[in-house]
Amino acid sequence: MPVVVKNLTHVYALGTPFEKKALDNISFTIEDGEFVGLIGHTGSGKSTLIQHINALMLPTDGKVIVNGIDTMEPKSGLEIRKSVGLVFQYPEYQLFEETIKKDVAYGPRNLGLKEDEIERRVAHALKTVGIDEDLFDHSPFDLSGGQKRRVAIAGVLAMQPKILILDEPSAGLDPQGRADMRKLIQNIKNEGATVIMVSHSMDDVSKMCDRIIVMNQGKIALDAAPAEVFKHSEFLDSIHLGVPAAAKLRERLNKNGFQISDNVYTLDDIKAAIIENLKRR
Amino acid sequence: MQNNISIGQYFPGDSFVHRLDPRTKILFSLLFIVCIFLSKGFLCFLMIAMFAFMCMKVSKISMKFIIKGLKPIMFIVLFTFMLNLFLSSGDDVFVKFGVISITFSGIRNAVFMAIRLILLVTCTQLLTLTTSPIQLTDGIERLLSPLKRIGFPAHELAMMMSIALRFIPTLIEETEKITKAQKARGADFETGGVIKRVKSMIPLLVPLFVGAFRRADELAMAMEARCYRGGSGRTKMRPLQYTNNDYYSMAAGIGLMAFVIILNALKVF
Repeated sequence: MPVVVKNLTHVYALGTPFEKKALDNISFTIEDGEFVGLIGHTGSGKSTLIQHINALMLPTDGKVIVNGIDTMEPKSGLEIRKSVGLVFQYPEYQLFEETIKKDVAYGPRNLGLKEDEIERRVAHALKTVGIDEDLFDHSPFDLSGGQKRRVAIAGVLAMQPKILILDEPSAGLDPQGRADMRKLIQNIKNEGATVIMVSHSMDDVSKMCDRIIVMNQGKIALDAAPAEVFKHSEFLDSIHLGVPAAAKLRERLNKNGFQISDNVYTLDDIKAAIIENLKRR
Repeated sequence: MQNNISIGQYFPGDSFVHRLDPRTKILFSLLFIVCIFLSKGFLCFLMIAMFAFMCMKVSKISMKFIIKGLKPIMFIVLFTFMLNLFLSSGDDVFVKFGVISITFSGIRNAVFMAIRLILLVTCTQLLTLTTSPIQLTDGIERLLSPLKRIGFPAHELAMMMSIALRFIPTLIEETEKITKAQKARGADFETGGVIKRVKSMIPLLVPLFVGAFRRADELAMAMEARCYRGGSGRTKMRPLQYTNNDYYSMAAGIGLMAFVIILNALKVF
């Protein structure tokens, strides 16, 4: 189920004085099972891009092909949304049902599944995001912010998408919430889904993704494995993204006589590398 | 979506009209409306239309904007036109199809009403196009402030208006966002019968209302945290002040009204 994006261009308010090019001739392919981090500054076109993969937005020019279906094909939208789950930023604001169970069931019900299948999927999705069974019949509005967000994510997971797109899933969460969210996403990934995660936190992306796509002003600036991307620290600084704290530390240590390899960019790894270096002295 | 709503939109600029005191512009619009209702003939309308056209030229607003704003009321204009055309009584029959007859006075009435409606909307549009919502509410507050003495909540009313106006774009944005989010969950807002469509709005309306209440709460808290306590003793960053231009404009407006009254009195149509 690859995602193929070919020469994608999107222009907002085409033909008016407010015309704005949000995406400019973008091409890439995402293979099955990849975990891609999509990173870029505000206004770089990340959100526009992910909505194209879900057929919520259509290209002004170029093509988006998901699982062999062109998003421009008439009536392809629903078909594509069956296999591509999109979790928007602050998804907790989209909850509406009386009970948590009913809310999570909304997506599967729209797919036209049978009741027992819906039941099964809802239970599984809520278990995946770590919501206790005795909460199932509570109102989603009684939950804490972090719990609400997890219920909202369950709402998308219950549709069992092959590709899951998350827009800033840990925005506004406390450190514990961020760590939980990371674990949750890792679990989803382990179940075999392709995951695309939008973020502007390099630290989050560096810990989890196999591949990072850096966007800048509607174009792809870098598209490579994390270690490769973090080598361009000066460029990343110039587009106000920076590199993970550990990569920054590595750079400064290396300037002062340490020898730590470029592949080290997480805290755990750098800890080991520093000890190694100190031992050698 | 936002681009579709042009009625009540503000068009920023720095023209003579833009710089006028909002109170002048509100009173002027009222004068305009009074004139339109006083007019009994096309000559008066011609005068008013010319006046409105002049205002438009001076404020450097393109005709396109005015026409765009007229679109939503076109249906009402057409409806009243038809109603007047077919339902006017009179002896001066123009054409007759069976029981339905069109009279000359019917045609005249229909055209008259259509022009009246178009002029009304055009004139109020000129006010909102050249006056920012904040200025507008400021002006209304000041104009209504004499009523405070008899307990009329002028300040509160103005504050509510400006808050409501401020949140229209936010609500539109929020609606778009939630629509997309529910669509991503397989929602279908486009097909099905009336009942199904109304039902499909629930996943949209509930989060929208919840969000509106949440924002109202947050705003109230933020206002209280900054010691907001209503209008009494509150000063303005930009106090409203009449200038000579305002007096000239008011004089012109009163002149226009006098002209309309004289034409009516002389029965010159």
